[in-house]
Order: sequence, then C-alpha cells, then structure tokens
Amino acid sequence: MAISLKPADVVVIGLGAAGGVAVLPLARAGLKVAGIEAGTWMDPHLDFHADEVYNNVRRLVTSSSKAQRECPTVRATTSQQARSAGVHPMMNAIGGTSIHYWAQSWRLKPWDFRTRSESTRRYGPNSIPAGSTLEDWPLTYDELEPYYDIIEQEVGVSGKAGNIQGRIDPAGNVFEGPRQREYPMPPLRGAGFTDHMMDAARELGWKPFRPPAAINSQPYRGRNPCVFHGYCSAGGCHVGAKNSTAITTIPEAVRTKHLTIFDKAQVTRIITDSNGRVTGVNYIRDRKEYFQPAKIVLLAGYTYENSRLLLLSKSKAYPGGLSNNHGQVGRHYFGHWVSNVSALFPYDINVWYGLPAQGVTVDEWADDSFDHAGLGFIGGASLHVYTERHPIDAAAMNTYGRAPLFGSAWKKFVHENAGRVASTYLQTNTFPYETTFLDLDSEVRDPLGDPVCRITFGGVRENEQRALQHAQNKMEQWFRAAGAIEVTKPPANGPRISTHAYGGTRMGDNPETNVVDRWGFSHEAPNLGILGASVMGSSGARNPTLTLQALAWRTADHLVKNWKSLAG
Amino acid sequence: MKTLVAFIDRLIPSDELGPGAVASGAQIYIDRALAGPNASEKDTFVQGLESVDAYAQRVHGAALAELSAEKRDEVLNEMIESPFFNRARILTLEGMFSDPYYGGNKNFAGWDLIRYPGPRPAVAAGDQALNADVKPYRMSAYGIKYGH
Repeated sequence: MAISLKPADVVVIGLGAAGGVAVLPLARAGLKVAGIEAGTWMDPHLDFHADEVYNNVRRLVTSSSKAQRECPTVRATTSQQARSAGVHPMMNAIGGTSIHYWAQSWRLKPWDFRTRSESTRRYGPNSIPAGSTLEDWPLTYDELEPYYDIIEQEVGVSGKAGNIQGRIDPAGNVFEGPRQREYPMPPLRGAGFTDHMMDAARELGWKPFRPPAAINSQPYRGRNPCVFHGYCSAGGCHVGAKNSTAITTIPEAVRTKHLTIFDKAQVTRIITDSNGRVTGVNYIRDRKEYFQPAKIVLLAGYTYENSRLLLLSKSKAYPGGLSNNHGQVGRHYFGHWVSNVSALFPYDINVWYGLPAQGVTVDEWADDSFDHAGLGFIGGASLHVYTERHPIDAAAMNTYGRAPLFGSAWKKFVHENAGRVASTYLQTNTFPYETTFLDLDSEVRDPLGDPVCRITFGGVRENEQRALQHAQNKMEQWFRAAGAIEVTKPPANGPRISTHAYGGTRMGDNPETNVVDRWGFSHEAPNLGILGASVMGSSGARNPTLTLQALAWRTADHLVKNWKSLAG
Repeated sequence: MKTLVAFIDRLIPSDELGPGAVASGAQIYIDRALAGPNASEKDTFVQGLESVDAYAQRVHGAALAELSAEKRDEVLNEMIESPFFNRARILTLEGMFSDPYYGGNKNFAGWDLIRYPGPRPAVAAGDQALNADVKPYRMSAYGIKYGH
C-alpha cells in the first residue's frame, strides 16, 4: 500500500528542460509545488569532465543507468519484432537533458505553426505529404512570442536578433519571426573557421548568422561565460555557462520556498478518480511506494516516457490509458530527421575547441524560406557548421580512399588531416504520419516489470528524404565554395530513436486527433497538463528545447491565471 | 595479451612520426576497458584474438606474435573487413587518443600525432584562429599525476 503524503497544489513529474522551467511561474505564484524527479543533482566537479571517453565513448553523463533500462524498442513496421534501441540520452537528473544538450535555443518560424494551411495556400492541397497527419498548431507564433521572450531572459540565451518588431537586421537571422526585443546576451564569438564559412555563404548570396544558444557569452545573472574548452557535447558545463534548468529556473524556484524537490523518486502511475480527474501520482523511492496527492498534475517526462506513463496509467475512467479514450496517446509521434555532411579541407581549420553552439547557420533552405514549386516537397533543413572536435573521433576519420586504415601511411594521413575535418548539423522540417507511432512493447519490460515504450517508425518518407537531400546538396555547395576538397553526404534517412522526439501527446483544438488542448491541458482529464516536445505537432528545422520551454511556461502561466477553474 | 600487442603494434606502429599504440600504452587501456566498463564484450573480443591466431597459424604457419611485421600486416589486410578488425581498431584508437588517465596516450603521443593541443582551462579567440599554431597544453583532465 502506498504511503500517502501531504497534498500539494501541483505535482510536476520530471524536472528536466520542460518541468524545470514550469516550476518557476508556479512557485512564484505561491502554489505549493512538488517536483518529482527520478534522478538527482549532478555535481559539476564530480560529474562534468573535459574527457571524451567519459562523455562521448562511455556516455557517463547522458546515460544514467535507470533511463537505459527504460530505453524504448524500435521496429520499422507493425509486422516486425521490435528490438531494443540500445541507449538513449534521455536523462534522470535534476535539469534532465538540458544538462548535456548543445543548448541551441531556437524560436520556430511563424510558418511552422501554420504549415498545413500555408502550404495548401501556396502550393495546393497535394503539397501536404501523403499519409501525414499534420495539422496547424492551435496557436500562432505571435501568441507564443511573449513566452519565447520570457525563456530567453529567465534561462539566458545569447544571440543576435534578425527581426525586431519588423525591423530586419542582416547580422541576425533575417528569416525569423518578429521579436519584441534583442537577446539578453550577444552571440557567442565565432571561430576562425566559422567566420570563414560565413564569408563563403555571403559570397553565395546567402544570409549566414551566429545562432542563438542558452550559453553565456558574457557573465549573466551571476553565472560565468563560456570558456570554449571543447567538451560541451554530451557533457555538463563545469563552469556553469550552459544554462540548464538545474542552474537557472529550478534554483530560482527553490528560493521561493514553494518548490519541494523529491529526487530519486520514480513515478509509476498517475492516479484518477471515477470522474476522470487526476488525484495525484504514485512514486517509488528507496523501494517504498508513496502517493503524492495534488490538485493538478503536470506530466513533464521525455517524449517517450510521457506516452508510456499515460498508457500505463489505466483506470476505470481511462481503460486504454490516461487521457487515451480517443486513442491518440502515442499518435503523431516522430523523430527529427537530421544529418551530418562532413568535409575535408586542405589546411588546418582548427575546430578542436569551442562547442556545437558556436557556429554559423544558414536558413535559406529551411521551412518556406524558398519557393518549393515543382520540387516535390515542403520544408527543408537548416544548415549549421560548428566547432568542437574530440581526438578519438578525429583519429577515426574517414580516409576518403587517400590512405589505408592502419600502419605508417595511416599515421601520416591523420597527422596531416585530423585537424582539417568539418562537421555540420542539418535539421529537417519533420512531420507526423499515420503509420509512425508509440505504444507499449509487448515483451520488453523495465526493472519494475512495466513494459517499455515501443517506436514504430513506419515507411519511407519521401517528403523528408527530398527535403534533406536538397539541403545536403546546398551544404556541399557551401563547403565547396569555402574550399573543401572532399564532401561526404550520408544517406538521407529518418532516425530509429531520436534525441529530438516529438508528439505522442499532441496539442490541438480537436479532441479526436489531439491529446492536449491549446493550453497544454488534457482534452479528457481536465486537471492534467502535459509539457515537453511530446505536445509539438511538427518539428521545425531546428532544435526543440526553447519552444518546448516556452510552451511549458505558457501552460504554467495559464494554470496560475485559471487556478480556480482548473484546480476545481 | 601477446596477440593483442602484436596486433595493435601494426595498427599504429612506432615510426619516424613517433610512438605507436604499444609504446603509448593502448593495450593497457583495452585491458582495463575489457575488465570493467566493456566487460560485456570481453568474451567476444578474446575469441576474436584467438581466431586471429588460428588464422595466422593456418595461413602463415605461426601465431600472430611469432610473425614478422610484414606478415602481420598481411594478416591485418586479409581481415580488414571483419567485425573484429573494426572493433579492435576502435578500441586501439580509444586507447591511443584518450586522456592518459585511462592508461594509453603516454606522454600525449596520440594527441601529438594528430596535433590535438589538449583540453585547457580556457580557450582564447586566438587559439581558434584558422591555421593557428596552438601550443600543446600537456595536461590530463584529472591532474598532473596522469602526465604533463
């Protein structure tokens, strides 16, 4: 029998990128918030190292053992047996994945919120990819703009505005939607190579810019600026320059004394009453089971875990899983199509140091920045060239048929060329499809005996494939213009499991096709809110974190403003 | 261990460009990895080494460690498509190019080979210039007792 605890106003399940920001407006409003997190505080001195083996080979920051034992299984189609995806950097820790992410902090484009209607208007109804369940978002960019602004200020984002209230500045991203004001910090400095790539893009007539990042480019609210030491990817920041929620909004919420953190506590079920309202959550800590009652439950796990916990939380009111009476939990899931086009230069480009967020981005070939007439796809991809290269990875470089894989000739090759390879990150506008979804695995279970999440990634996606190939060709053009002597384009494929995982609890006005309403609250269980990229119905051509944080703050803000009606 | 050393000694040999995998201690890294964090692949890896020896014996008449450098290169070339070659190569790269804390990359020989200047506490803009000749910062992330 679960031990019943003192009721809270709000339970937040998961103190990561999403839950970690939502607690702040709730705590500031004086609500009693219980933050339940499966992991605990990480220690910058013990856990964060300038060490490729630690961070990238053994993945000791990103792969806490509990999360790995809950790693989803994957299969191509429903007729196949799903197999474990192996490892995934979903995280058990206060701060969650925002501890080790690249911290690229993008706003989506106004077009991303209205892709279906805009594409239909400009290119006709047949431009919508066949089999896609894409809908317009239930809110516009303009409605989310104030919340983007709040996150940029509260978390701390560096960058250069390209559009302040309609005034275009070519030093920033001229394709972005209008912003109310400049970023709170200037962009991270460029490196010699990224400046060189910026010049090459300008010569092509493109409009490159330094992208936004939740990394301090100067001291910010008492925290240090970035030292560019080259171990940001899959690692935590030892100087506190990467603005994870563990060092920004969560400590700020703790200071209000209205947030109580229950760490190392794994939520096993969300509990409902016979009227279909949620009453609290069960969690396990030190092998004891507790019941934390609350007036409101905000579910803020990783995308895979959000759908899984809902599907596991069956009750009389929700026999197929919580908030799943319309069969929409797990639907409209998709992983972000991304790609690395790499290149070899005939001189030392010196990108050892820096960080993936230090770079140069081109947005010409993303979203609807260009005319798609006759191209056979909608969307595209952003092109991002960045710094940070680790020695093992560098030594394992492609030899491009110019040298053998071992021996003295190989040594001579890597001696000359290991410091001459550039990497990129291309992110494709990715859409949901009828045959891509999440459910519970029929065989694989976690250590508590509950089924893990199962990903069915469905068939060929010609739209995303063409969009990504188009962008890869543009990336090659850019590299060649900058003097590359070799360019490698990997096959344009979708992910099996993704660090940018979307959907499963999509946001939309229609309860027949969406799990949460425009405010992030369940269409079925009125006092259940859901936070994270699991509510997003399309990806945009950029990283999800800033958008899911803006949405999370907005849901929390809506809750504060409508406390009486929502809390009942 | 004899076979492993004979193998990785040809993957990255010592030559005029500097110490190879064995002189840099990559075998120490691999040994520790298989005893600890990589224990789950230890049996497969040891079987792979045994099959290399069996192959060398059958085709070249002696265990790998008994063959000349040229003959060992032939063996490596003949098995270059095999999963074992790929895995042994990856582990050797990890040993040669990781922080010396893990037992390989002795005297920063691996980092010197690829001209990686090493993790440093703070990186100035000049250290990121194109073609910059950055002075190596010879320090383990775990302090001077692991090499400096």
